[in-house]
Amino acid sequence: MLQDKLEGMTPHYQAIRAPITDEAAIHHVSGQATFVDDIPEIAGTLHLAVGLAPIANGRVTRLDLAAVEAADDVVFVLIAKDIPGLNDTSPNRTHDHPIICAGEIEFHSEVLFAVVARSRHAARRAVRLAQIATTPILPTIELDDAIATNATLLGDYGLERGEAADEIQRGDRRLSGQIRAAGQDHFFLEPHAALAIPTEGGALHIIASTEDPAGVQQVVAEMLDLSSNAVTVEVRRIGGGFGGKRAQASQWAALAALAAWRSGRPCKVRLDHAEGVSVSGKRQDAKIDYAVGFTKTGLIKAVDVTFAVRCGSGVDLSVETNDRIVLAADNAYYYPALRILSRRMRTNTVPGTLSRGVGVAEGTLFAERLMDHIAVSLGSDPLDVRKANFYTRGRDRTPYAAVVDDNILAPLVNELERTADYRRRRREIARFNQASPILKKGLALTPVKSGVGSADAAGAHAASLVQIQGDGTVRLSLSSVEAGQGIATRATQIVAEEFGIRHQQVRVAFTSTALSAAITTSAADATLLAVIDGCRTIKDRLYDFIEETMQIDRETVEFREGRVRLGARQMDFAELTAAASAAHVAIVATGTHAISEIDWDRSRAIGRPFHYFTYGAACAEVTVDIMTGEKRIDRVDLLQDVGRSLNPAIDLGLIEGGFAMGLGWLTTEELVRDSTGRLLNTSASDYSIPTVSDIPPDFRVAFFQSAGAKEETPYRSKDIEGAAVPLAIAVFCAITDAIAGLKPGALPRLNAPATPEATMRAVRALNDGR
Amino acid sequence: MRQRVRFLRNGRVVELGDIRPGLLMLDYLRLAERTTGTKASCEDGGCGACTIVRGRLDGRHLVYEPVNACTMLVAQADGCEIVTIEDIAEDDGTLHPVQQALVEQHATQCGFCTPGMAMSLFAMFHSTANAVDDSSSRAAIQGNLCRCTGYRSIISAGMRATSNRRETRHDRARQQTAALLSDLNDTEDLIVGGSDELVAAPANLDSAAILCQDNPEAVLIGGGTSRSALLDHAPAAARKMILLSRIAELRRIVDDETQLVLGAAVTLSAAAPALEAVAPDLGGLIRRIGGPQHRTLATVGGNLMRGGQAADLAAALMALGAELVLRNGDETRRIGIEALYASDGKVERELGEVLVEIHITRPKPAAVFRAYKVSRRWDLGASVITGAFFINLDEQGRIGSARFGYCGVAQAPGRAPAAEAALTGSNPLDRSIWPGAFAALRGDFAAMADDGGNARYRTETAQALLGKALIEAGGASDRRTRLWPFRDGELNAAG
Repeated sequence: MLQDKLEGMTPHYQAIRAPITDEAAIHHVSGQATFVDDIPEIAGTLHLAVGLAPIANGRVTRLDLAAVEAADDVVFVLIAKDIPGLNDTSPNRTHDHPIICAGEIEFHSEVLFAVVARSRHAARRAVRLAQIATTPILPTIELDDAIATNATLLGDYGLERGEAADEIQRGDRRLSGQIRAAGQDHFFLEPHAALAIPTEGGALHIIASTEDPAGVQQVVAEMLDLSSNAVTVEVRRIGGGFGGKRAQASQWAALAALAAWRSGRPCKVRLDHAEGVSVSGKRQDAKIDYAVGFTKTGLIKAVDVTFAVRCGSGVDLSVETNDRIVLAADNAYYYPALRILSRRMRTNTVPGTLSRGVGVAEGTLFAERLMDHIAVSLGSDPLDVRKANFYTRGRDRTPYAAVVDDNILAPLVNELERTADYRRRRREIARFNQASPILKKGLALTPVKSGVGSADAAGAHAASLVQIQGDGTVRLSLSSVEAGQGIATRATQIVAEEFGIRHQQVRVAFTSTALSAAITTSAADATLLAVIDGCRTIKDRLYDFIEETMQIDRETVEFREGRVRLGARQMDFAELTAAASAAHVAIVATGTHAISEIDWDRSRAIGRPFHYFTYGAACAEVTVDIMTGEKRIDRVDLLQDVGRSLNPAIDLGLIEGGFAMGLGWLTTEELVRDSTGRLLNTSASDYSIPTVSDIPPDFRVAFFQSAGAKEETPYRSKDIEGAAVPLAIAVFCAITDAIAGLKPGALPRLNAPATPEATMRAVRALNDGR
Repeated sequence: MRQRVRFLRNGRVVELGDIRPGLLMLDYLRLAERTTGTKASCEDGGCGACTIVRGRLDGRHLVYEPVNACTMLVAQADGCEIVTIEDIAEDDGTLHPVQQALVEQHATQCGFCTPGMAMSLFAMFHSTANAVDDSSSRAAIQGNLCRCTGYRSIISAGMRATSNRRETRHDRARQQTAALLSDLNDTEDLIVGGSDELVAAPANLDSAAILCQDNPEAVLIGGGTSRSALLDHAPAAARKMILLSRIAELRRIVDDETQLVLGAAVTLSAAAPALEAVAPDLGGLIRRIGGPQHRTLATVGGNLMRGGQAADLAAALMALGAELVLRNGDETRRIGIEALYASDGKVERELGEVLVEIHITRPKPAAVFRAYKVSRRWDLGASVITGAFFINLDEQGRIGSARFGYCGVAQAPGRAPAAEAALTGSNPLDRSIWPGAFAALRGDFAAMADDGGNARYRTETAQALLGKALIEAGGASDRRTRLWPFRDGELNAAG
């Protein structure tokens, strides 16, 4: 098994392709790794807590904070009027998400005020003393209510090819159906946190738990009418983000900044976890309605699908997330005629935002439901229906007209079918189910095609700062934030490879708006290519220096094992860089990268919204108790194309972790709101992310041996961070398969997450003949 | 009387007198000691990020157990050693085997859950001399959430650490630590604070009874793991707390042929083997209450006195016909456990009253006891519904008598008398009787809807669990009825 093979490899100078341990692992395990709340506090640091709206829609008629201000150790309170500049935390400046609500409440738990006190304890305690009166207006909480009233936040957007409706009618067979996909809290372990420190001349230094320091900088500067260069935002690492600290982290940093600016004292905020879940945007839930026409053998003729998605009360990143959903609705399959519509619904809930694997998760869930529906109706093996509809030569145009030109679906799925012993296990399961009235087994093998390098501008640009120090060691600043995805480790590997030094000689500094991060991105490829660019800029200067001072042709120079080989001569890397520096050669460089091949016309929905695809497949076996709806995952096999891996240990961790996050989204995690819009299950015990017991006892992960990315990527690796989430759809389809046997020919109307209750609802519908 | 909390940190006794009675160990570590390796995440005992290890004497033997620092009052550390992530590497920086294994197995990603994971594994490492298997390694981190890794690498680290065992500073210090802890053990009542706010840890039951009568508004705390009631910035913040965990009389387990008597302050960890001996399903149920961090502190009495919907253990003990002994001053009363709960799920405790003992009659060999808990996830899952079934079969295999306990159907845990009566005298597998019994069951409870599930699902699942119990009572192997069977000689870690 791959997991075992990675042990015991301790390379010295081999930097890339090696399973090098995380650059901070020793700090993590010894408790030294520093997160925002761990930074030693400067004397006089204040603490901030937030007061939240008790309704989801309406007006604040009275906000009496006298008792709050009078409470022990409270220094002052902040309300909307205390903001001198722009009161807006929306990432794309849509002006629909205030930092502090000015009176018109748009969602439950919106921030109404903040308390600043000498201790966190005092601030939290004082918050409860506020007297708040409101005039509520009937809120739109449920997605269905928004659909019924046609409450949209943005115009509809979609893709069309041919006359889908007519083609569906012309198919031998027709089906229509619906599936719901739930929202999902990101559930990063480090709660939202920020520390703002006033510095001279009215400037601010902010350390925030954010995936987007540049975004925080903009929100804070505009809030305080400061120039951007007066606001420095840095972050060394965050305790998980998963997209939930991209746009949603700015508000807390802004509040800390406002308090620091007003008081001249450092101010820190750390939300309590349950509070953070209430106030912070999430993966958006979707209602997916579809119709499909196909042949007697299951070959699709046309698809018509509508994704109605809860976007909440503000736009946030809903353009990007919803575009990604419709662009992934094909998954691995060719739809000759199609209509794919995205409806962005407005609800009185917190604006939805990015989430790991957004788009490919929801789009793939739809496509796999479609395959199951066709297969069940025909009585075919779902894998055969899937394979029949795969993109192949001549049937390779995506819904946005670009050709799938790096397709490895068939060999990858065939390999997993063989290694997971799919056919034999299907036969065994059929036998098992015949003899087992209560426990039913199911098996599914599902593919994932995941687009990388999305069309939104922020994903495609990056910068780096590479600084060679006097002793030949390197400091590095990235425009991605280290959030556990191993970007820092991979960057040290790349620098080590480029300069032929040990990866331990490379240290990743803060991601900071003061260093390279005027641009911040979550795209690993762009970030790492910017590192390569920075290294090569310095190498170019060193080649020039070598040619000029030693008359040695650059073609013969080699950076290896800490030495620089100059034809017959060689010298230490540090010796060379010191000499170059003494001769006024800059051994510091910025690197940049902009993905150029993307050619995407959003208005016509034509072109290449992705840089390349990465492919994977999963095979899952489950057992379902059809009396209670509980399930057990018996075995999972994952096969993922990672290109040529920069670090197999990191890629393996991302696959396993992404799968687990998808597993939670599809089976255990449920956001429950009451009719007032209040989220009910905000605690870590009530909101159920997978625990160790949910991880299958037999869990096999392998990399597909591929030639690597065709496009320009860091050393032909592929970015798989989001791609692993939809691998868990195999588990969802296996649950569907387990209960489909109860009534052959009828599709179980299972919605995600397949909690015991949702599973029983699907079982009951089958038994009731619906 | 003693007015200072005393506990051991790295071989030194820490004495604290001037503390807020509600001060939590997490705040003490992070804000007073400024040891920030212990992470603050959910602050509700739900995620394990703040896991630390408590060392205590069990007889003369030093035991290390994980606890969540966010739900533990500093006063609860009295007489114990507190070990945090900063303390486990050697002085020269050599990592502890569990730390080393986490590094080598690539088991850290964002790193925020890591210190808690390491401490849970540390407790496991020091509680066995053996190399652990996959299921034991999983059991050790049952109470720790990770969002990044998918856990597989962490499970591997637990196994690797115990197979690459070496002597650690805590192994070498064992005798000295035991001696220091022995010195800290006294018979004085601990009382911090005064007439407005106090936390007291009485050393014996008589002191506790007096304290309870003098401070009738005080909250009694078994393990304090349902911390929400104590949150000291919450509206109903407890000003006065009486800890029952030091009282030897309340920690007694009396196990004889006819009955099991548990002191109210017996922890879930300590109770698990005894309860499992009464009925295997009880052990299975206990192992699904929280994680090791909770069961180390949480007490049987605290679990029962907490009430509410998710009263799994109460439901199970109702089916077993357990009785409670409560003491108020010098008076005691003995009640059936179902009498403890009002219809809204609240506990009907008299002011100043303290739960002393739980009496459980050992079932006869012909009796069948089954308990099932349904939750969104197998472990750390708030129970959506739990059903427990005690069925006495007569010589003809008919149901002689029955007691069913449920929680999660209605607001309060309770018995199902009508359903019990409807089935008495029937063969459990006689399905013609079932519809009538299910109708009776629906009459026993007014099903509710809340964030855990809707009323219809609760009603139908209540029936399904009864059906499952009848099928098993009729002799079906639980391999055919359960996802996690354990009666066929194979005890699964999860169940």
